[in-house]
Amino acid sequence: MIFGLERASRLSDPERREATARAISQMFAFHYEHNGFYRGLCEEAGVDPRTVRAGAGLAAIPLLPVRLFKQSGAHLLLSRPLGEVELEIRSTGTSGVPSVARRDSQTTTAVALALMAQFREFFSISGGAGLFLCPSPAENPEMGLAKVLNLFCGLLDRSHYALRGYSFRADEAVQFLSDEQGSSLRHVFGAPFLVNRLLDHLIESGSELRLDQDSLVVTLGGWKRYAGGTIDERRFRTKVSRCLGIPQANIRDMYGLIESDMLAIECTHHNKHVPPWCHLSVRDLADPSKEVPDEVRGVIAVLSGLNTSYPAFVLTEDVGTRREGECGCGRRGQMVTFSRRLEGAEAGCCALNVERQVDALAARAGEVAVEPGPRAARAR
Amino acid sequence: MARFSDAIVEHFTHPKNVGEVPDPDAAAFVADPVCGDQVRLTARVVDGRVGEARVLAHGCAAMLGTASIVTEWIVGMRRGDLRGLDEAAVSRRVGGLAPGQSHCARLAVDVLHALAESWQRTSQGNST
Repeated sequence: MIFGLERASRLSDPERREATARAISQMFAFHYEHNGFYRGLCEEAGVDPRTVRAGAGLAAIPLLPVRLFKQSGAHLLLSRPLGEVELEIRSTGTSGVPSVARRDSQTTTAVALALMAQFREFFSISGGAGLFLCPSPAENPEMGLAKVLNLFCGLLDRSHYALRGYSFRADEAVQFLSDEQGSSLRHVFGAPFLVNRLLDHLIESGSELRLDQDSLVVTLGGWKRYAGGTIDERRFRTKVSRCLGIPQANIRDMYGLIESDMLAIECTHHNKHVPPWCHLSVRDLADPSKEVPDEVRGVIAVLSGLNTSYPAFVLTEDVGTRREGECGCGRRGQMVTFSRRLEGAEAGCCALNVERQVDALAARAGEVAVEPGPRAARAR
Repeated sequence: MARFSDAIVEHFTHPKNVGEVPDPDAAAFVADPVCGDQVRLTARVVDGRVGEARVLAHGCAAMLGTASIVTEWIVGMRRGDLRGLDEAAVSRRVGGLAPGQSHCARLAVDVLHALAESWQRTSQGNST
C-alpha cells in the first residue's frame, strides 16, 4: 500500500476496507502475542485475534488511551524489547509532561517510507526551496513536529529554518523567500501560528512578497493557541492567499499525532485523507467503546497496520468526525475533520508548546517585533 | 555501542523505586526545557545517609532507566557524596550513554545536587 499509495487511494471502498482490515488484524494478532500488558486488556474485553477475524471487526480491538504514553510505566506498552527501539518521538503539551512514542527499526522504516510516499502523492515535490517555520531537528531531535516536517528537506534543493533557539526571525524568513525568487519554486512549511506571524509581519512592515503560482504552504501542529482561542482555518487560508498570492488549493494542513502512524493530509479540496494503512474510528463521547456513524462527532481513535513496537490502536483526546467515500480530488477512503480537544484534556501538541516557548523567549528579550499590530489585527 | 546499555534496558523494563517517599526528608524536581524530560526524586535520611529514594520520571527511555538506577545507587550515600557526583560518574554508573542521551546524565546530576540542597535545608530546619 505504501509503494502503491496512489492506486490504493483509488480502490473501491470494499477493496480498501478489506486491505486495511487485513493489515490491522495481522498487527493486532502480533501485539496480542508479544505484549503481555495489552493481551491482559484484550482478555478483559473478551477479544482475541480469532474474534476479530471471525467478524467482530476492527471496532472490537481494544484501544490504548493516549495518556498512557505520558505515564512512567511506558515500558508496558512495548511489544519489542527496548534494545530494538531505534527512535523516540515526543510531543509536549501545556503540562510539560512529554508523551513519548518509541519505534523499533521496522516501524521507523515503515513510517518514514509511508510519510515520504504521502508527501510525494499529495504534493509532488522533488525540488525547490523550503522555508521552515518550526524548530529544526538539530535543536529538537525528538520533537514530532520537527521530525515530520524535516522529511521535506530531502525532497527540496534548499531549506532554511527561520526559528532558531525559539526565536522567530521574521526578517530572515522574508529575505530567504525573496532571495529565492526566480531561481526556485518556493514553499513554506510550519506550524500555523508561525505562518500567521510571518503574515502579520508582512502586513505590519508593508512588505510585498508574492510566492509562485505552484508554491505550497503546508501546516502541521494544530490551530489552538496556547493563550486560548483558535486560528480559524478558512480565514487563515484567505489571509495566506491574499498575502502570498497563491491559490487556496495550495494551502494544505496536515493532522496527526506522534502516538499513531497516521498523518492525514489535506487535498486541494481541503479534505484530510486517512492513509490506507490506518483505520479511523470515531467513538461515542460518553462511551468510547461504541463507534458512532460517519459525520457524527465523537472521540477520534486511530488504528495502525504499520507499528510493531507497540499496539498503535490509540484512543486520542481529539474530537472530530469521519466520513468515507469519494473526494472531489479523485481519492477514495476515510476523511477526518478535527473539531476540538476533548473536554478536560490537556491542550497539548508540539506547536502549542513551541508557541509558548517563542513567546516566553520574546518576553525575556523584551522583543515585540513579531507581535501583530493594529494593521495586522484588522486583516484577521 | 548499542543505543541502550544493559543497565538502562534492565531498569527501563523493570523500573525500581517508582513513586514518592511519603513525608520525605529531601525532595527535588528538575526538567529539561528543551526535550521535556522531568525527574522528581524524594528521599528519606537515616543516620545521616540516604535510607530510601524514590523517583517519578517522564521522558526518554534512557532518562527513565537512569532515574531508576539512581534510586538504588544513592542509598547509603551522605549529603556530601551526592554533591560530589558529576555527569561522568552517572554515565559510568548507567553503563554509558549514547550520543544524544547526555542530557540524562546532566539532569541526573542536577536532581541529585538539588536533593542535597533540599536535604541541607531540612537539616537546618530541624536544628533550629
